[in-house]
Amino acid sequence: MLKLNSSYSKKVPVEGRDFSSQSYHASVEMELSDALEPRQIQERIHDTFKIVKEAVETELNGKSQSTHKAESPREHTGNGSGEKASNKQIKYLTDLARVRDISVSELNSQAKKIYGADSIYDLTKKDASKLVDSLKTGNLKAA
Amino acid sequence: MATLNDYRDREHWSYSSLNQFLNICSLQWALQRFYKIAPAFTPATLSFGSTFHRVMEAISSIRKEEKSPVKKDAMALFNDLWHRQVKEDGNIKFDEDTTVEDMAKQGQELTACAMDAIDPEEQVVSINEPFAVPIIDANGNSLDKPLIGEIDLVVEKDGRKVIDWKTSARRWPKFQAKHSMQPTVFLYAYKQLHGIDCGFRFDVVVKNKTPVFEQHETTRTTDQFNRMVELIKLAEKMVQHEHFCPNETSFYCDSCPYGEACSSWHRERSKLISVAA
Repeated sequence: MLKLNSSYSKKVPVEGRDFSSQSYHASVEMELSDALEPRQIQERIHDTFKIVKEAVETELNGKSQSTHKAESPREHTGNGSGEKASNKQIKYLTDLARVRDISVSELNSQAKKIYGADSIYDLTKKDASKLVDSLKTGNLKAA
Repeated sequence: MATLNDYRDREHWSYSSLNQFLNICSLQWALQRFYKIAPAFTPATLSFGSTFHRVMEAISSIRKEEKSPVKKDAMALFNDLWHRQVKEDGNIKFDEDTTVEDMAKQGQELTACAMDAIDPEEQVVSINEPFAVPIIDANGNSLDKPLIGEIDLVVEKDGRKVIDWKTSARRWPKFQAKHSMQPTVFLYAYKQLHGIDCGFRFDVVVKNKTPVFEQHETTRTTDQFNRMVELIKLAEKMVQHEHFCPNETSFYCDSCPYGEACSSWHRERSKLISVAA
């Protein structure tokens, strides 16, 4: 019995944080028959590597097709400005707000007033990004 | 207006998810929400509870308009919604010797009982208010996933109260509300959404032969909110490492829709371990 282990990892910078990166990694381990020809083994390696690579890339691009995910959401099919802000983006927004002493209820009020969103979790990626900029430039301050 | 379903589109924690993971059975949680195994059936109590909520929602909408709901209409509404719910859910598992019509009758009696207990001086502030809020620990560190949910009812009388409707097979023990995680989750969310500390009340209708209405009030402190966040962080670590443990003595086992998958779980698990070794 042969054992095949295919891994793929990618580092990406953390939005808004200098000198910092996050690593995304996926690996698959599987058993192969001893009877496989070298060419067949190479094909299996190629196919398996392609799967893990695509899995990491789709996760990074927020287009996961995974069905094995905790509290897995319905898929976001949209892209571009209409797509809802990601959890990481909202976390960044609320972290920024907290150090500026701005509460979640104030952030929600601003999201409603400026972008017509019911809450920060209802903001689009583009609008969340604009709200982040407002916080950074000090245009949004604690009430 | 954003709905709870909109918030469900993103990865999240909710009270039902946390309660299932931490208090009922983490393996049941995993089979349902992580491994995505289809449930073998819908427990009748779940469909019944959903119907009761919809009826209470309709009654509260009338109260919000400062009108008086009519008991006969509310009972008829339960009957109608229950039969629709049974059709909708399809594969419902009823307790032995219990029929759809038995439960229709019981639901109407519970509805009447809940209506008799309405305090006309209580002002309805909101009904079925969805929420999504960040989860932040005592040191100000926030988690990636938000906490989401829907608050059944908020009322105002001598202060503001968050209300949750429940139907129960038996009377509640004295300290059930005090130890429940639900007030912690909902009051934490309400404080973040509105900046208000308020009380919490369970309005419980007990399915006795003659239904009984109970109210259980409780409050929560910041320290209890911080403890909740630490529990969520612990749950996240367990999920990350796929540490799911069957609660072999859970009261829920007999009616668990994942019983079959659970009974073969250890065999599947040992296979995985031997492949990886």
